Amino acid sequence: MSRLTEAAVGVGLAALGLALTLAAADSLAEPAPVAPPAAPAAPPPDAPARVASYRLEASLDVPAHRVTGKGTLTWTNASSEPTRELWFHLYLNAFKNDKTVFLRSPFGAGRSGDHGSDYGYIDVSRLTVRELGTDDLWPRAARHSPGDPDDQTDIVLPLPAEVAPGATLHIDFEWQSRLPSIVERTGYSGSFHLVGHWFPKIARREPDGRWAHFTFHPQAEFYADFGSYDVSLDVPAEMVVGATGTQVRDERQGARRRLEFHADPVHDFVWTASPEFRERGEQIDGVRVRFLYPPGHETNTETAVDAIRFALPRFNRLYGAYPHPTLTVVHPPEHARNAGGMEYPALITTGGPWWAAKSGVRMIEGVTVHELGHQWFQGILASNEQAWPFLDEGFNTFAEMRALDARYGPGSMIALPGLTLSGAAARRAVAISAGHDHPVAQPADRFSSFDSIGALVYARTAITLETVGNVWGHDGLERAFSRYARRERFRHPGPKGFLEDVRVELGNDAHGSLHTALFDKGWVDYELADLDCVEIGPARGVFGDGAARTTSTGDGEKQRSCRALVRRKGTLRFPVDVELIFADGTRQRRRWQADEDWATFDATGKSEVVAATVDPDRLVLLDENLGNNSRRQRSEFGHRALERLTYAAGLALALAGP
Amino acid sequence: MSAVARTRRAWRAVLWVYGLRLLAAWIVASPLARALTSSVAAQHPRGDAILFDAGGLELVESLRLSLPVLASELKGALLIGTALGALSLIPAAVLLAALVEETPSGLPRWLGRAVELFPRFVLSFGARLFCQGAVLAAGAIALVRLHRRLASSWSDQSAAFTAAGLGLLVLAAAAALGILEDLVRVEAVRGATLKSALRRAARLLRARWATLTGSWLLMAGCSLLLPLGAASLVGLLDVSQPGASRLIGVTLVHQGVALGLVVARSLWLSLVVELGSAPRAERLPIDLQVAPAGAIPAEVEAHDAAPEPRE
Ligand SMILES: [Zn+2]
Repeated sequence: MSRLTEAAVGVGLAALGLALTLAAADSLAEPAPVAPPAAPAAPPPDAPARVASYRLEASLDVPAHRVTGKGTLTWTNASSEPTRELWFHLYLNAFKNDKTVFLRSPFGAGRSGDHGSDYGYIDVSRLTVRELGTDDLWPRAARHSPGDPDDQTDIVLPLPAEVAPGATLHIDFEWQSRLPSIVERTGYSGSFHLVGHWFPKIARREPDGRWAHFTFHPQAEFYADFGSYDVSLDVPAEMVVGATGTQVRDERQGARRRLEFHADPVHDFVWTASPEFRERGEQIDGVRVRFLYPPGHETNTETAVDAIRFALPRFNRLYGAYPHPTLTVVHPPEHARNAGGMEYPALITTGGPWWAAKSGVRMIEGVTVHELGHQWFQGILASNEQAWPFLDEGFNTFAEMRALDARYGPGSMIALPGLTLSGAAARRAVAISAGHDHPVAQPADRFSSFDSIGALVYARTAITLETVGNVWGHDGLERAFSRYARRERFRHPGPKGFLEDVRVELGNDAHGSLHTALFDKGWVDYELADLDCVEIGPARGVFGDGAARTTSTGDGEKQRSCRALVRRKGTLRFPVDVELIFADGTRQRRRWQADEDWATFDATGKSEVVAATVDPDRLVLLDENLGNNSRRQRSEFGHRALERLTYAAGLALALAGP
Repeated sequence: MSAVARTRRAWRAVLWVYGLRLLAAWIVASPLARALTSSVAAQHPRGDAILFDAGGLELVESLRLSLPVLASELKGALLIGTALGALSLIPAAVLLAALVEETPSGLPRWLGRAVELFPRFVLSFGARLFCQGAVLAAGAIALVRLHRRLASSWSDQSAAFTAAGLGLLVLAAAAALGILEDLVRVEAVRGATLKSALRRAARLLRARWATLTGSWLLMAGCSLLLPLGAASLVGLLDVSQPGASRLIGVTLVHQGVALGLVVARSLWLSLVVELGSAPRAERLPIDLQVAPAGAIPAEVEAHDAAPEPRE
């Protein structure tokens, strides 16, 4: 059990106490417990259980940035335990005032980096449970998140009766949401709206009966049950709308427009509306992909289309088929840039200035492929992103990095004349610079800052997986991912299954190294500690006896005897090559399993070893220091670097000088 | 005499400016190169060729490992670069002295003139940098505000193009200051005091703004295209591959660019000199009384034999 789930259980018990107190006060006319149906229809093993399905009807008031709606949640107690409470996430309340958990955190700790200029909130006005009578139950709900009177994002609703395992509730509710100015990938900017966290959303109940509920923390993302969503939206007629799922109806009613969307199976629903959107559609690998973008972003969109054309079939092949008929790709306008770079089921947002695609920096390609990858790790696998952020962001960064490398080669991050930068090189620098003092596999709110999440969860996970693939084979690693992604589809996996898949496909060593790297702050530094040669000739002295006695003065052909000392520091172990380079230009590679902390590599011959390198192909990207991996007998002066820098300084002097 | 002929005649001064700039660049770059290559490249079998590998793994690692040293060296390099930049007013004056003279002389005389002119050049250079800084800073602030205002209501591209339009105006203003200073320097080399040089420069700029702007843009365009062209050529030569010939090739290309920049600037300054000493109808009055006695080179005095009355 993780430390987070322990905490969640503690909070859950405290809330249960509160719920029982409230229930006791209101127990005059307690309804009968809700029992499961006589023969619950079990879903087929590879299909998701529709635990939380929504029918929503909402209307957008553009000038007020307000969404008013009503809906029905059909929720099944899919756990093995009865419950007397429901937990709701009212995440729009994270932006209600400066005292919420989200907004009181030192800004910069959050993902979006900017404090919105306008506040947002969600009010539930009525909630009834058909199986429990007609009373409005919402007045019984807690006023704030557990233990935090200033936060209203994580709300418990005590029920007047117990809900048995397998029983289903039909929960009718009405609510109103006021959108904030864009913050953390939701809100409005001008007439652009990205409407996320906009309806009261039930938390997920784990199979053992624990509620996985949590406040909206600036460093954490989300977790929810699958269900089907039927959503009807009423917007001004000029609005172009994109949403999770497939549009099944579009009806003009005077100055308004009513659109209906169906999505199944998904665990969230988001939509966007703007009168400015241009639209482009394309069928890619069996999926109708719809691109919405502001005017002037045609080249960016072309680049995003190209990236999806490559990445969607690749991810389908590696991680199992994308399960929805449509995918919507939204490029927010520059003034709403904090809405960019976000994943929701069947809808992703990209982003970047209008000139991004021509800049030589692969911003558009990177963000598009990254957010697309989330359709599997966040959308389909749907791990608990709060408890195990690396299972989503880390695995997905690796998937993105490999895809971009496969498509764009060494310039997968930057491709300028004379300078290319790969995603792996950039991620390695970020990951290694941040050090290895904290585990990668820990809950999001345990990290010291979002920068730390960036370095450990995103970059270090990706570099760790890249190293494992480099050393033990990317084919095997792909097979492990394929097993994992297909088996755990719609099943909210934790980390164990994937590690087991790595053991099966790549062996115990790979499994052990991966586990240590992710869970136990594993690190490694290979060092070519010493390279030394001595001259040896024929032995001198008196040899043999009697008539066979000879005296040697040691004349004759001399040889060079060389020794390279290689060391491994740290807790990780990857087998590596050691390369010896001789004066005559020949090279020798020897394998070192690196079971020991150090080893020596000897070579005797006419030609001496002039240089030696451990891990010459740079397979171990987790190596803390690549600067100590080589030794040469004579260090070389950097003529090329001097030439390039002299030229650059000359240009600077010509530009800024008199 | 044409601008080309004037530049050709001053070829020794052109080479001198190029050589001194190369020396200054080398002084600035050497400690940086040492810092950058000390971490990974110095001990690697392939030496600093690895810094130019595709993908940038070793380059990024070198930057990461040598960052503390590199940062302090960079501060030093900026300081030295600024000092050398200021000192390069002397070669700049040498070049102008060589371009302005009508009777060919040689380095000792140019150098003498340059030392004489140094205080005036420092003053005009300082004033130009100050004014340019003010224009650019004010422009940048206005630009950010304008873009922010437009961005929420206009399309991204229209907002950016409008802001870029304003940006071009700001750059044009900054460039005009640079052109003005070149004109002032030419007049100063001819012997005018700064005050009268400024007056004459402004008058010449007003009278011949189209020719001046056109030829300056031509010079600036060439100075921009040269390094860009070189970059693609250097990419083909790829110094990450073994072979000294590649490095020699790249060095030749780069130094060709550096020399080309000096030549382009010399051509532009020659043109300014020519315009300043144009036939009588177009010529500007040379203000003899303003110039300090003996400061006016013989050729200028000869050319301006009939000065107009002082304003
Ligand atoms: Zn992500």
